Amino acid sequence: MTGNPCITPRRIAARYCALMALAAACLAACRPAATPTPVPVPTAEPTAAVTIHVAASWVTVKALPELVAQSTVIVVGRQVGVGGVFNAARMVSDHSQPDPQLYGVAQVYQLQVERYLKGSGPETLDYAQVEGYIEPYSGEPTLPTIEAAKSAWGEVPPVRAGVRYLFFLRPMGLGYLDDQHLTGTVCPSRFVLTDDDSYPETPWTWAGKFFPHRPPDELVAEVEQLVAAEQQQGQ
Amino acid sequence: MNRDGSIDIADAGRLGLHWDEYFDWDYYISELSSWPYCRWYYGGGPFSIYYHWGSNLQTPGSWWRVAFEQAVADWNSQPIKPSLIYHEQGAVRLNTYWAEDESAGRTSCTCQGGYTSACTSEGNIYHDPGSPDQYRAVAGHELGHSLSVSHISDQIIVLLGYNPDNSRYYVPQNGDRFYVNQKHP
Repeated sequence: MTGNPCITPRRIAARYCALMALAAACLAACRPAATPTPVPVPTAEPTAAVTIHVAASWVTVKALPELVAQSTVIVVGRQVGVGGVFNAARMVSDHSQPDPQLYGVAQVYQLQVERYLKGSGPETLDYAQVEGYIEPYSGEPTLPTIEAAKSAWGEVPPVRAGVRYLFFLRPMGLGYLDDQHLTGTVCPSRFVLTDDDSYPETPWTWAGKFFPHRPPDELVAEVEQLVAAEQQQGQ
Repeated sequence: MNRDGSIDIADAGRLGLHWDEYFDWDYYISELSSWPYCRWYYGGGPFSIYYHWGSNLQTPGSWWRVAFEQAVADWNSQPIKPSLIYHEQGAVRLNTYWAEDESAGRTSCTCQGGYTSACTSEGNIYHDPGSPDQYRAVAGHELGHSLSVSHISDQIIVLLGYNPDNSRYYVPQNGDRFYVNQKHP
């Protein structure tokens, strides 16, 4: 129905107008003499929860030689433990200090190294990746806050136990961490290795376009060749 | 033909199709609704979204400041309803952060009752995107999120999705405009 309801159709309008007049009279009689209470502005869903949505863009490489060249350490390994978290977001003006507004939830994992393809190090190493952001924050975030931040972002896949990976890594910390941690170089910084397949596991949606599925031995062999070529050039 | 019904650019070229003809809009519109489900409240016509500079971008001249200024101009030159206007208390904050992860930039938006109330779009100064145009591409991508568009999951070249070369594609493309207009018709 459009227009003034008191005009058409006439019979319904007459009843409607009479009811409205009665209601208005009742309201006027019942209303206290005090100053009228402000009427809240109606919203679509006044009780709707506030939600935070986060998305990121990624630093990527589109070829294996680039990935090998940018990585300090390349290993085949598995996740054998999940550690704590720390703030990987640092003050822009002083990286030794955490960002006072932004908490980059760097999740630590322990990796059991099967083979070093580039670089060297211990049999187990600490790997960290940012899986969410909390902003603003105060003090150390609680576990529910951390989980909520990871869930809100949801783009960075956690390192799964029992899965064999090829990791492309670089050291992180630049002095603000007590212990040596490694993190992914750029996307795609790790590949899943199964018995007969390998593929990138990364938040970068289009990684598979540049790094298609291939036999795992073939992938590892190519990385070894690229590392060997790099070492020859360095000599 | 891909599993989701879309067609790669190369295949479309072989079939002589214009990109509008092979893009499965309905499929991606439903995909898009997953994030962010919010949009800016507006009355149906052209409207303004106000932005301000965050603490790290107060001074003009830095690469990220210039990149965001260019990205604002890039989006404002598009045939879309929202316009980005500076206001010191604007709901969109443009800033930088420093984090040792693989992100080039990030955007977070606060939503309530289906409407966006505030967004922060930031560039990660830990990484150097490369040329000024590549900075501009990242800034434009993040600003696109602040205009209520998620990542576009398609083979078509877009600022907010598959971009094979961000030194070449650094301004909003047809698909980017389409989704902003879907969110704010």
